[in-house]
Amino acid sequence: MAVTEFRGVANHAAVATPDRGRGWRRWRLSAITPASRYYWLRLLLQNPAALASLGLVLLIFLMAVLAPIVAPHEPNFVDPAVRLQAPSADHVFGTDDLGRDVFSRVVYGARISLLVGVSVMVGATVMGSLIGLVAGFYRRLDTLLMRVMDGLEAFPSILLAIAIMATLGPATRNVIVALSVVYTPNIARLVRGTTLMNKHQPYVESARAIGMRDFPIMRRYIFMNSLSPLIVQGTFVVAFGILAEASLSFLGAGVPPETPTWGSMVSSGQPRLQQAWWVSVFPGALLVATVLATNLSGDGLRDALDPRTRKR
Amino acid sequence: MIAFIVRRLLLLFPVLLIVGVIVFTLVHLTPGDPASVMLGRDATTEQKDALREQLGLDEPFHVQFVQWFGDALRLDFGDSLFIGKPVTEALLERVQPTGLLTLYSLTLSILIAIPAGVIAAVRANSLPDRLLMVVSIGGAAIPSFFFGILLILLFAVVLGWLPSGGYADIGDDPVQHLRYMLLPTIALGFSAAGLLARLVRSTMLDVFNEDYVRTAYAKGLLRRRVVLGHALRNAMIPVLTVIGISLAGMLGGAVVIETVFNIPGMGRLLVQSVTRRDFPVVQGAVMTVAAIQVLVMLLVDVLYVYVDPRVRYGGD
Amino acid sequence: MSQRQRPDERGTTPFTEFIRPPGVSRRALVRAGVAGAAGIAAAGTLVPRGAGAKPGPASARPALLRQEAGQGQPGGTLRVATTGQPAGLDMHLVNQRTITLIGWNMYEALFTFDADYATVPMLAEGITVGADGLTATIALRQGVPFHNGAEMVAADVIASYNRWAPVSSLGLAIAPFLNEVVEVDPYTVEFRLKNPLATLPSLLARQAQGLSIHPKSVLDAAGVNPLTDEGYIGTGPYRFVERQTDRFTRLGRFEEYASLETAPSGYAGAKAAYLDEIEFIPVPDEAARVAGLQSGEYDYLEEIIPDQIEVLQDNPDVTIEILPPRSYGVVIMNTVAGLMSNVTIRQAVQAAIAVEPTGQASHGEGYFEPGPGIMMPQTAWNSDVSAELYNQNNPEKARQLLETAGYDGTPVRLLATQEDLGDYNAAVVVQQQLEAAGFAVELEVSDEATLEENIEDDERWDMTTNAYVFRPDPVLIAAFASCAADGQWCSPEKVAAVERLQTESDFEARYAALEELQRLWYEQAPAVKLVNNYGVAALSSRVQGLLGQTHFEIEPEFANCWIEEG
Repeated sequence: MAVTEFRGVANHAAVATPDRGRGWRRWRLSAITPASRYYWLRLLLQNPAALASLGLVLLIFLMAVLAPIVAPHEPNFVDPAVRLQAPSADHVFGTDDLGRDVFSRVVYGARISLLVGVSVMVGATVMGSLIGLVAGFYRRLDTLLMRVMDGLEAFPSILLAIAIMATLGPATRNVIVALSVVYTPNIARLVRGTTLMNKHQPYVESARAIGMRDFPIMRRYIFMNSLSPLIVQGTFVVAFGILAEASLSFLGAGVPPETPTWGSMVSSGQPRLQQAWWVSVFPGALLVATVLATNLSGDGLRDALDPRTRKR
Repeated sequence: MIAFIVRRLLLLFPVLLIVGVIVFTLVHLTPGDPASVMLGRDATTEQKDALREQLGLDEPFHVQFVQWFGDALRLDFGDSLFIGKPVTEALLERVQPTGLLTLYSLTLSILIAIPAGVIAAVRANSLPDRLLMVVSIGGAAIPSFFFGILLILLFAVVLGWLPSGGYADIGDDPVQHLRYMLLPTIALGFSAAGLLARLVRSTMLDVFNEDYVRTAYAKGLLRRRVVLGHALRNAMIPVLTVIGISLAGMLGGAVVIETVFNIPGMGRLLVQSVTRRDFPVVQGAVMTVAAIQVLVMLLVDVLYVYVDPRVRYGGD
Repeated sequence: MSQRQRPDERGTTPFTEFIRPPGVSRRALVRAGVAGAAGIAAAGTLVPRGAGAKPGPASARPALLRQEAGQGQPGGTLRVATTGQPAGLDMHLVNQRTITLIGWNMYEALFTFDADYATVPMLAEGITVGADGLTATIALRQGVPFHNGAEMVAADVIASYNRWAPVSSLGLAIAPFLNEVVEVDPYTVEFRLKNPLATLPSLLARQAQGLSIHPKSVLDAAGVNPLTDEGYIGTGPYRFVERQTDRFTRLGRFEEYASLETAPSGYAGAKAAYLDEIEFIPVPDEAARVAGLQSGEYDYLEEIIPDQIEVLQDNPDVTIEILPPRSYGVVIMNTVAGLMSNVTIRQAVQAAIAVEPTGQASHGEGYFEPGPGIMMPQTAWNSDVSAELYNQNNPEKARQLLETAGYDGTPVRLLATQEDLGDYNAAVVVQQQLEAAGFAVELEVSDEATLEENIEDDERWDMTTNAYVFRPDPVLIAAFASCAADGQWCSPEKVAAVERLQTESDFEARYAALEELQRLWYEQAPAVKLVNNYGVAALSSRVQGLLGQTHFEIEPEFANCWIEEG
C-alpha cells in the first residue's frame, strides 16, 4: 500500500466520527474494501434487521431532539388527582404516582438516556483511544498504562460506577464521568491491539522513513485502522451506557430522581408494579427496544464493515 | 508451566496495588469524615482529632495508604462501623450466596450460549440464526432488575411456585436453597447468555473461514465433526476470555440481583454500606471482589494454555 | 453539639428540652416522637382526664371482637419483613423503628400501655407516690426470670436505668426532677425526686427507646458500648436466638416466661408465646415485601404503601386493616436562618399550600384525611382553632405576602429523601404549589443520612417534608415541647403555652394551653400541616390474634398471636 495514497487525508480528523469521515472513507477504499467505497453501505442496506434497528435508533433520537413538540404534557407537571391512571386517550402511557404523564416523561427520558449513552461512548472512546494508541506505540508506557487498565477492569463495571458515584454525588454529569471511566479500558485494549498489529505494517514503516512524526502517524494510519472495530464497539458502549445508567438509577446511585430517565422511571414504578404496571413497563420497554436496536445496529455495522464475518 | 503461573501470580501484585490505589482514593474523596461518622455529629472537635490520630487519619495520604494496603494484603480491612464486626468476618458470611449465585448463573449462561451460538453460526443468516440472535440480544438488552421483577411477578406472585426473595443456606436445606436461587439465577444468567451467544457465533464464523476448517471439509470430514471437533475447540479460546469477563459482569450484576431478590450477599452488603457510610466495608468488599476477578482472569489465562496449543507460556 | 441545644441557655423549663443522645439526630427524634410515647396525661389516675386513644374513625376501623388469650395454637415461625437492617438491638442506645418492633418482643419495661393507652404495670407490681410527691416507690414482680435464667431484681432495674437515662431523651427529661434512684430491697426501687413528677410511669413505659430492663451483669460488661449478640437478654416472651446482618434476626419462645394473669389489653396483660420462632427479615424493597406477602414468604409487613391495598384486598391469603391515623405530614421550615426566618414568607408558604394533593401523592386517595388539629383526631386534644389558616390553597394571597416581604426570587432549598416515598412525593407536590405562587424552589434530594447532616446546619436548608407520628400528649411531640427540634420553632408565647401544658394538671387548663399552642402554630407558621395519614396493617391471613389485640401505633407485639394453618 503506497504511502502517497494517504497524502491527501484530512489531518483534522483526530477523533473521527462517521460524518467527519473523509479519512475513514479513504481508509475503506484503500485498506480493505474490495469493490466500491460504498460497498459497506450496500451491505448494510441488505440487512433488514440492522436497517430497521438503525431506523428505530434514528426515530428515538428524533423523539429526544423534538421532545417539547412530541410530548403532549409537561414531563414534570404533578397532578395527584389523576395519579396512577391506566393508559387512556389523554395519557397514552398512563400516569405515575404523582399524576405525571408517563408518555411525556418517556419522551423526555430519551434525552437523558441517549445523552448518557452517547456521551459515555464519546468519553470512553476519546480516553480509551488515546491510552490505547500511546500504550501500543510506546513500549515503555505500555506496561504502566495497561496495568492501570487492568486495575480498572478488575472491578465489575457496576461496582466501580457505584464507587465513583458515591464519591461524586448524584448528577447526570457524574454518571457520564463514572461510566466513561468504566468503559475506557475496553476501548483502550481494542485500540492498543490494532496499534500493535499496525505499527509494523509497511505503510507505517514508510511513513516513518519519510520523517513523519509519531503523532501524525498514530492519527492517520493507526487510528484510522482502528475505526471499524471502534465504531462497532462504540455502538455497544452506547447500549451498555444506557443499561448501566438504568441500573445505577435502580440502585439509587444515578441521576437526581426528579430528572425523568428511563432507568429511574422503571425503578420509581417498581414499588407499585402490580397495580400500575405502565409506570415501569413503558419506559422499560423503550429501554429494551433502544438497547436492542443499538446492539442490532452494531451487529449490522460489524457485518458490513468487517469482511471476515461477511458470509459467502 | 509452574514458572508461567508464578510469573502471572507476581504480575497480580501491581494490578492489586492499582486497584487498592483506586479504591483508597475514591473512598478518601467521598465526602464525610470517618471520625465524624464514628463519633456521631455531636462529637467535639477535640474528640474527633483524638480519634483521627488514633486511626492514623492525620498521617499523610501515602503513609495511610501503605498502612491500609499492608493490612489489606493480610486480609485485614479493619472493623465495620455499622455491623460491629471485622470487615473480613462480615464478608466471609456473605461469600456463599454471591459465589453460588455467580456460579449457577455462569453455568446457566454457558449451557444456553454455546449451543445457541454454534447453531446460529452453522446456520448463519438463516431464520433460526436471526431468531436466536434477536432473543440473545434481547436477553442482553433487558435490564436484569426489570427481568427479575417480571420473573417475581410471574413465578412468585401469579403462579406461586417459587419464593419471591430471600436465601437459605445450602448446608441447611439444599432443596430450599435451590428454590430460592432459581429465579435470581435465571435473571442473571439469561442476560449474560445473550452476550456470550453472540460471541460464540461470531468467533465460530471467524473460525469457519480458517484454512484448517476448509482443509477438514476438504478431507471429507462430517460437518458435525468439523464444527464440534475443530471449529468449536478453537472458538473456545476467545470465548474463555469472555467467560472470564462475563464473570466480572455477573459479580456486578449480583449487586443488582441481590437487591431485587433480597439475597444477603456481598453485593447487597456493598450497596447498603455505601448508604450507611460504612467505608471499611466498602473498601473491603470492593477490594475482595476485584481480587476475585483478577484471580479468575489468571485462571482463564492458565486454561488458555491448555486449550490453545499455539500459546506458549514462555512467551509474552 | 451546638450551643442552642443547651437547656439553660434557652431559659425554658428543663422538661421542655430534649437533648439528643450522641449520634441521634433531631430528625430521628421527631420521627420517633421524642419522649417517645404515650402518655403523660394518661398516667393512670394521677391526671384526671386521660388523653388515651379513642377508637379510630368508624369507617376506617371495623369493630373487632377482642379474643381471650389461651386459645391460640402453639407452633410455627412468624416471618416479619422489616424495612431495613436494624443497627443492633440495643434499645437504650439506638432509637430506630425496627428496633422498637423487634425489641419489645424480647425486652419488657416497668410499665406499659393498655388498650386505652392508660399506663399500667408490666414488670412493676405497682407504684406508690408519697404524700409530698417526692418519693415514687416501685414494687417489682417477684420470680421474673431473664433469658439467662437469673431472676430480675432491683439491682437490674437500677443498672438499666443508669445506663439508659443519660442517653435517652426520656431519661434526660426525667433527670432535672430526680435526686437519685435507690434500692430499698431486692424487689423495691425508689425514685427520690426534687419536684413532683406525676408522669414518671409513662416516661418509664414501653415506647421507642424506652427503658427496657436488662440483667446488671450484662450491662456491667457492656458499659457504654453497644450490647452484642450475647447481651440481648430480657424478660420478654421471646428470646434472642441469632442474627445475621441483612439476613435475619431470629427470636425463639422463652419457655420460662413469667406471664401476668390479667387479660391481654393493648400492650398490657398476659402474654402467651404461641410461636416457636419469629424471624425479622430486612426487605428494603417495597415491591419485594408485598410480593413476599402474596407468595406467603412473609406473614407481616412493617410498612406498606397504601396503593398496594387495591392489589391485596381481594387476596384471601392476606388481611389488610386500615388503622386510625398514625402520623401527619408537615412541611418544616428553618425559622432561625435564611429566607424562612421571615415570618411573612412562612405565611406565604402556608397560604400557597393545598393539602389534598399532597395527601393523594403521598398516601393515595382514601388513606388520609385533612384536619387542622396539630394533635391526632382520635385523641382528646383535637381542636379546630385557626382552621381558616389550614389548607388555604390561595396562591394569590401568597403572592401578596411575598410582595410585602420583599421576596427577591432567591431559590428556596427544599430538602427531601427518597428513602421515605411519602415524604418525597409530598415534597414534589409542595414544590409545584410554591412555584405556582411565585416562589423559586430547588428540590434537593439525597439519602437520609445526608439530609440529616444538612438539617443540622442552619445555613444549608430552608424547608423539608416530614411526618409527626402519633403521640397521645402534645408535650411528647418534640417540635412543640422543645426549641431544638427541626426548624427550631421558638417564641416567648410558645414557650409559655408549653409550660402551661407541662405544669397544669387539670385537663381543661391543659386543653386551653393546647388551643393556644395551635393558634400560635398557625400564626407563626413554623411549619405547615398537611394531612393525617391512616396506618395500614398488612399481614397473612394465617396470623391470628394480632389485629384488634395489640396496638400498632408504637409497633405491634407478637405475643398472643399465633399461626393457623389451613
